[in-house]
Amino acid sequence: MSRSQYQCIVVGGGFAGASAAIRLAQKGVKTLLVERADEGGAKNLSGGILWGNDLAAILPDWKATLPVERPVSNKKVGFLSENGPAFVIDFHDPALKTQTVGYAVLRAKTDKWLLEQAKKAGVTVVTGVNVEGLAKQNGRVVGVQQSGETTYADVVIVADGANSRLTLQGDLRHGHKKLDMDHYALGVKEILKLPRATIEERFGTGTDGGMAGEFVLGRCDGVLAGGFLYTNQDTLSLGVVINLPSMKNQGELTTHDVVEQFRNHPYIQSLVKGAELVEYGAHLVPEGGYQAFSELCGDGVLVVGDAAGFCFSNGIVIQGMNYAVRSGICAADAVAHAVKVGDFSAVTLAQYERNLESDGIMDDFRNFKNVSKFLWNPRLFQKYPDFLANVFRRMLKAEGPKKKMRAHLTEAMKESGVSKADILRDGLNGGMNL
Amino acid sequence: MSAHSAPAQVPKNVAGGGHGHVAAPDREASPLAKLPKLDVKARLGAAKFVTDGHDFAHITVDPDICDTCPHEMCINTCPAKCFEFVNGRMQFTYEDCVECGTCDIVCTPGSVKWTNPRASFGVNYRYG
Ligand SMILES: Cc1cc2nc3c(=O)[nH]c(=O)nc-3n(C[C@H](O)[C@H](O)[C@H](O)COP(=O)(O)OP(=O)(O)OC[C@H]3O[C@@H](n4cnc5c(N)ncnc54)[C@H](O)[C@@H]3O)c2cc1C
Ligand code: SF4
Ligand code: SF4
Repeated sequence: MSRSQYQCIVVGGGFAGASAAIRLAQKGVKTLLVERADEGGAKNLSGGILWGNDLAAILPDWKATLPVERPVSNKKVGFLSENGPAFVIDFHDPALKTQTVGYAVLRAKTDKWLLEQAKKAGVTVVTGVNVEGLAKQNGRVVGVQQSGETTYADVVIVADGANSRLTLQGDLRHGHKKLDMDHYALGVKEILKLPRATIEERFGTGTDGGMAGEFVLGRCDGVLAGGFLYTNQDTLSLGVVINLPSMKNQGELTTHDVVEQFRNHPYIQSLVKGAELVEYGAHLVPEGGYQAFSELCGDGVLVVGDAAGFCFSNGIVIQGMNYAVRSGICAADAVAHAVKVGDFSAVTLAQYERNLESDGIMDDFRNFKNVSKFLWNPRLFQKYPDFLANVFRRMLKAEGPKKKMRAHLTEAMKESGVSKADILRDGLNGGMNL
Repeated sequence: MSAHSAPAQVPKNVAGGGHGHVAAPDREASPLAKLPKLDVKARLGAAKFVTDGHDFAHITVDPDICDTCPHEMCINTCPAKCFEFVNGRMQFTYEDCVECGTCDIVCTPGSVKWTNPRASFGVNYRYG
């Protein structure tokens, strides 16, 4: 074997790969990061709200320099009935403009910045190179292949995202040769341009705040989909996340129709009217949770971020960038440990799994094990949006003797085909899982 | 036939291929069915692509396998409308592909063979 020029090769320059590489360089590990896009972020797409402060572990001043769009100071959660009504909870908190909990981001900007930080930290960053496979010798990963050539390293961190070709090629998915439809949703997204002043006036965000909205899309056809709408500086991020199995037997309905229908809902229309489409794209979202993780380590290899399945999605809220950062850091620390002891076997690299445990990532995924089951509950999409609309219509109709809320509920339940037992069960399930 | 017929779609040769439509839910009742449809190809024009020459298709399909497909989910799910039956034969156009990977996942019969485009080619997001 030729002598490795790098101790570690990271494949993929998204949040997971960049975070891993930066941490490695900070710990003095000679690291090469390979990204297939010509410029960081050009292949990446998220909603997206970057929640939390996880980057601070490697980049303490990130809030001062990461190109973000707007801090979330207004959160909307809504049910949109396909018949037009909308039931929306609208939470405004001006304090969140300064005590930030999340920022709307655009990946073409953030990921480029992340790769710049990696370079500054001492990582050798190569863009415009598509890694074709993991190179193995005697079952052990020894480097990466590209155009028939192998670049060697003691260990490879696979961070190639949701559509992870390398875990498939490298046989790191428990024997599966294909990703499982039940464990992925499809996100379809549009960027809509709207003048900054219009955004600030229409959404009431001010110059220093932003809106993050997530919506259950009521549909009688059985398609399970959530919609999102986020304010950026002078654009809006609008999209849907669609449960793939629910697209089966849907005649000629397509995923691009679903995003179209979301944008055309009267409530959403009122927020996006006049905006001009400037980009359209799509990306997979891992949502299989704990049951769907790839193998996390092997001899000479670790898997992080979306590639491993560290993304939490329930169709409405997605958290993946923060887990990408955290899993990347956990893997980097395991590699630094392996470098110290001079052993890169799966046994030593399993330190990664212990790091994931102590970081709390594993507990998060264990606790949320059933959330996607709850949220892709067909009742939520087929019945509740209409049910809520019916309740409120009844309450607002001022005809006849005033009825008690309870009577409105009973009648609306009848009309929407929802039973008391359903509501109780779903309410309990929701409460226990959230 | 549902009210969801896409504009200008060439009807498939149902008799020839055996890929007759699986019964779709009745959408006549839903107001969603009455919405105007934007051409997805026009929407894709907004994304920036660097198209690889015609010598390298990063995804290939085997139309013979498609002839026997029980669900044709690639057509329902591909966000870029790259899959279409034309005169009863599956026709795949990779140029508009946004590299999401969905077709590989949903193609249970195994017609789709998926790889990343060569470096520097394919979709190039300016926002993402
Ligand atoms: C529609 C949508 C909405 C979302 N909303 C949110 C949100 O609001 N908040 C949130 O936290 N998360 C959100 N997510 C999830 C989030 O985007 C992901 O969890 C996150 O991007 C994962 O980071 P990653 O680094 O693991 O993978 P990615 O960001 O996908 O990065 C993978 C990188 O690897 C590169 N690559 C792939 N293959 C190769 C190869 N063979 N050779 C070289 N380079 C390669 C890619 O070009 C890419 O740069 C959303 C996702 C989608 C699709
Ligand atoms: S799902 Fe696969 S086999 Fe079926 S029509 Fe599409 S490409 Fe062909
Ligand atoms: S990868 Fe996505 S965009 Fe490309 S052909 Fe497949 S489904 Fe369509």
